Amino acid sequence: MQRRANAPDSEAVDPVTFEILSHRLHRIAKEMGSTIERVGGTVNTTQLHDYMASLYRADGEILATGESQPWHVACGGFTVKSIIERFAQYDGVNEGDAFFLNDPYVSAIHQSDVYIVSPIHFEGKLVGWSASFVHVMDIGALSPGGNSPDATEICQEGLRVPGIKLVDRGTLRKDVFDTLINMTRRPDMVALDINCQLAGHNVARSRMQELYAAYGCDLVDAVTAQMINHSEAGLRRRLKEIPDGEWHESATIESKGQTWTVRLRLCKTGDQLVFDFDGTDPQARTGVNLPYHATFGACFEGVVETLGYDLPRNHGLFRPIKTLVPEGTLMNPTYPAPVSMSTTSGGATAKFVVISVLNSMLAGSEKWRNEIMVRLWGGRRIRTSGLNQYGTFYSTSLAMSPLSGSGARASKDGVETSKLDFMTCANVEWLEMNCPMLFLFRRHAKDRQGAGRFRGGTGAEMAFTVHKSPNGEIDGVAYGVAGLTNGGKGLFGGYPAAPSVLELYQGTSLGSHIADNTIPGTLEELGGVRTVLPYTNFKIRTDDVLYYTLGMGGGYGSALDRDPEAVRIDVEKELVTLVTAREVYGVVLDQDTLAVDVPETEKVRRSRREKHLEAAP
Amino acid sequence: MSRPFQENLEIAETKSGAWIQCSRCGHRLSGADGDWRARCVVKQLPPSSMGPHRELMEGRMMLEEIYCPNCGVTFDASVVETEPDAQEISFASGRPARRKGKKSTAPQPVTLNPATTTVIALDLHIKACDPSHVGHELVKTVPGFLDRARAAAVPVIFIVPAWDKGKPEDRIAEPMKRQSNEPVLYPHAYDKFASGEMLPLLQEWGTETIIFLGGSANFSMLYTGSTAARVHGFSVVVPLDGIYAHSDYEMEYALYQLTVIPRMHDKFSFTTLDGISFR
Repeated sequence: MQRRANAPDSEAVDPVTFEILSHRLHRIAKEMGSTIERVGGTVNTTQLHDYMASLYRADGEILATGESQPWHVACGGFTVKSIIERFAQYDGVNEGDAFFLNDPYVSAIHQSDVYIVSPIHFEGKLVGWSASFVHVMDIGALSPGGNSPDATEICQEGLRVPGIKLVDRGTLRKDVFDTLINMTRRPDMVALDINCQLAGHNVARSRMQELYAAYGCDLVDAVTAQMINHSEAGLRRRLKEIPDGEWHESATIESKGQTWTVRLRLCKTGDQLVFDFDGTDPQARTGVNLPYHATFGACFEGVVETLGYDLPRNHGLFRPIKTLVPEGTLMNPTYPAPVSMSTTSGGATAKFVVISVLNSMLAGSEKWRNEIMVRLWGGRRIRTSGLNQYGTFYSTSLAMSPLSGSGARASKDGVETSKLDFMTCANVEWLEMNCPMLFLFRRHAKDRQGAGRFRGGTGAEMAFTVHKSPNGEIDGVAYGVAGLTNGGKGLFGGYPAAPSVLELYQGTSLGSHIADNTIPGTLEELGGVRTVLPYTNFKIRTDDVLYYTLGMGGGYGSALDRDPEAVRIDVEKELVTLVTAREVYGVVLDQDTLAVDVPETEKVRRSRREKHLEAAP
Repeated sequence: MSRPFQENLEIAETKSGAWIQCSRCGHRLSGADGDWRARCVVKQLPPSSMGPHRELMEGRMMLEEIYCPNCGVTFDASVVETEPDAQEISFASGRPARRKGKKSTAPQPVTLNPATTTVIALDLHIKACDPSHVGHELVKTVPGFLDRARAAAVPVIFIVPAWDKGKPEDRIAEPMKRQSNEPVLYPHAYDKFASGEMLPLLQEWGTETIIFLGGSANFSMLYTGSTAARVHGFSVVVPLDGIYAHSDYEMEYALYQLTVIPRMHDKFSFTTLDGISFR
């Protein structure tokens, strides 16, 4: 019988064996992930890391997460538990099985994230589970690729499977497999996605069985129980070091005149955190809603990132967290609310408010305040689809979000073009080779970071057009976090970043530039009619240009306190302009040499601070 | 002894108690549980103060900075929506007043105790079902809210003009789904307290907060709401998309008036139907 993970830790394993086994479990989860990446053939698995691979105990508790986003790991746990419950009443769970699930009203975040879970048996006994998801290339939703701005209910968002046996005792159920992949626009690609997941599960199963054979069930079971208790105790110990209190945050998504606000109150008492989403807006008839288990996962991810980043990521980090989310709201929608854009809108917003309240909590602790990192909200996203230069249908995410700039830290700037959330970025060459697109530029965006004593990381800006499309146009889907405040927030006097935008320039002079073999350096050179895109489906035609700026991080502390030398280096690196150096940071630089004019800088800054007091009561 | 509160702010433990103070100059702002922001200098600046590429925010948002009133160090900076007069928000029948009173009429979410709240629906009788009626839009939007209120056991009182009593027109609009235990009153005044029937009901139900629905904003709602707050001490909640008036001017006049009633403007809250929740 498996030891309960919350059993008293009286039979502690010796520390060396504990370390060896806990690291080996971590490595098995990582190898499961790298198998998905290497066997996979789509951009999501091979370039973007848009997958998850984790291990669970026999009862569904999280055991080892590899390098997966914690909220997906949490949802993987809900998936395992739902399969245990569902198949107990059908034909059971047998050695060599694998189950397919993508229902957001069970445990998925949106249908495009396809979960596969497999039991792991040793000597005929169920000893654990492996779970994975891959964001598949299409799911048969209203818009190609899945994210569907026009969907008003989940029935328009593609196939939805609450749990089905895909592999029965080691044999692929081809009838089920074919049925699933043929309900999408790209059966070949989705088949690749599912097959690489199954390969990952096979590797995980083999490695786990080798582990059990080498160490025996009792020892592995004891170590896994101890790992979970160790993480829980570590997190609780840290929480006790931080003063109790209550912190609030809210964030509003906006598109086409509609707004959706997420409100959060964090209450910390002793070693317990309660995240309360009371006051959040009712669920939307647009797919920005986030299912409950993902909202819980966002809280879990926030805690892992801020307080548990160096603790083994397992179920122990769940236990000090309680999440209260009213039903029928954006953060806990009820059927048939649509959710297809959830991960990058409601989900990004949930993570933003969660980490924002956690930052406020950390600010009150002498020991933990230096761990603060301003949370990047999310920014806009885009997909394109249509006929490619080879005359076949394609659909892809532009997958540039990892080029966002991360938020400033309490003692350092944010990181340039690095979203730091496990995902990686597609390269331009791959996109141009596989899709009828031509990039005009992709580069660091000047002056868009959130200014501060420590500034937010610089994100990317880019522009592309349609190129060699057989019918001269492709379809686009604009999603992500819409609205003018998606630049997030700064902390303690730091400024938010400029809004992340998707702008369509129609009827530009790009054709003549290409004919003249000249490269336009700025959008102003191209002309055209600009439209700032809300949540929408749209077309990009020949001579249209799509301009895209990623989300960027907010600043920390007042820009007037920033080291003038750091501002000089920013100007030298062309991340900040001379004008912004003076107007925002109060730093005066020589136009030619970029040397800091110290007396003039001090004068400008003193004058600004004196102005602060002009309206003093 | 002091401990950090946030960047540039600390909590100082002294013999006279715990204080939130500036950690740069030691200036005391408030008690540890007090509203330290209220003692700071607050300035609103254009979005361009944050740098270029904020032009889309112009006219809709401002940068709000909070400074130490003694040394001028910055405690906080955030983007806030501009006052309603610069906004294009529109509601089914009303929108925030452009003229500023002592309190903004921009809608804010409110959470109410259902045990001490009563809904008063003004003139949402059968006449409102006529598409040409000024309050017709509310026949579509108010019923959903009434369902939520009833589900939370919040009592509802319907008011119909005295001159319609006994006529076919005195029926409550069908979509409102009036329940048999929901009284219909016919006071012969714009101040619906005038007939003396309503106050005992409100007192019997332990009412502390009244939500007004219907119209007209500048007659029944304004007169009854003023009496509710000034004479009887009720708190009044006005959902901007749950009331109507014949013109923007009349709506704005009524809302403005509620924000300038001497000593009473804090009794009024402005919100939307969706912005009201019951705890």
